[in-house]
Amino acid sequence: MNAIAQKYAPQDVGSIFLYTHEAHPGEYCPHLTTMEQKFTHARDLRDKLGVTRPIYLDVLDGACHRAYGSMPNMSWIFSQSGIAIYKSDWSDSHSVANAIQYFLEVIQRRRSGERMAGFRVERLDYRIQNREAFFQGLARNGPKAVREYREAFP
Amino acid sequence: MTIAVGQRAPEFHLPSLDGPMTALSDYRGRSVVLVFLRHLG
Repeated sequence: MNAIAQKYAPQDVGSIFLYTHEAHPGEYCPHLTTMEQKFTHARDLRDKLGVTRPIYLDVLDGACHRAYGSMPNMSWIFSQSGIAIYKSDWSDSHSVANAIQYFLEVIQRRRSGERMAGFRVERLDYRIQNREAFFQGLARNGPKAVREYREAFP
Repeated sequence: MTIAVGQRAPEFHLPSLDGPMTALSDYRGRSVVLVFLRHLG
């Protein structure tokens, strides 16, 4: 997503990376109870993912995350007038890039004089699933994280 | 109550790791991608 942000910045597409909370708390990476912890986890995440753009932090109780739907790794795109035009319950760079490209074309078509009206679309996008890396991440969080995940999704 | 596609995005003011605050309204007039990140291991 960092690369997507850099690619489309020259076309006046802003990007906001917002850290919410620990995905699967465990003994080594506990549930967040202070903003200081939240800053520490966000710095760790920035370094692991190599994010070079600013990362912003939701408030401790996740009010912003809730306002936008509380899905685990959401992405949204807003139009120039502040209207939500894309919502994804998972952040996938291919899906987001496809959507940005489409909406930039809409802007160009409007500028060239085409009269256009929005309509709703539902579709299923696909992401790469790496279960091995996911369980390695759970293990780094601690046995509790692994146990709770296996209990929730046997 | 959460928003849906087609609705106006709720405003927020949030701190950054490096100090400065940001607001969604800072991006007025631009398209914006908002990515929610969670930490895992």
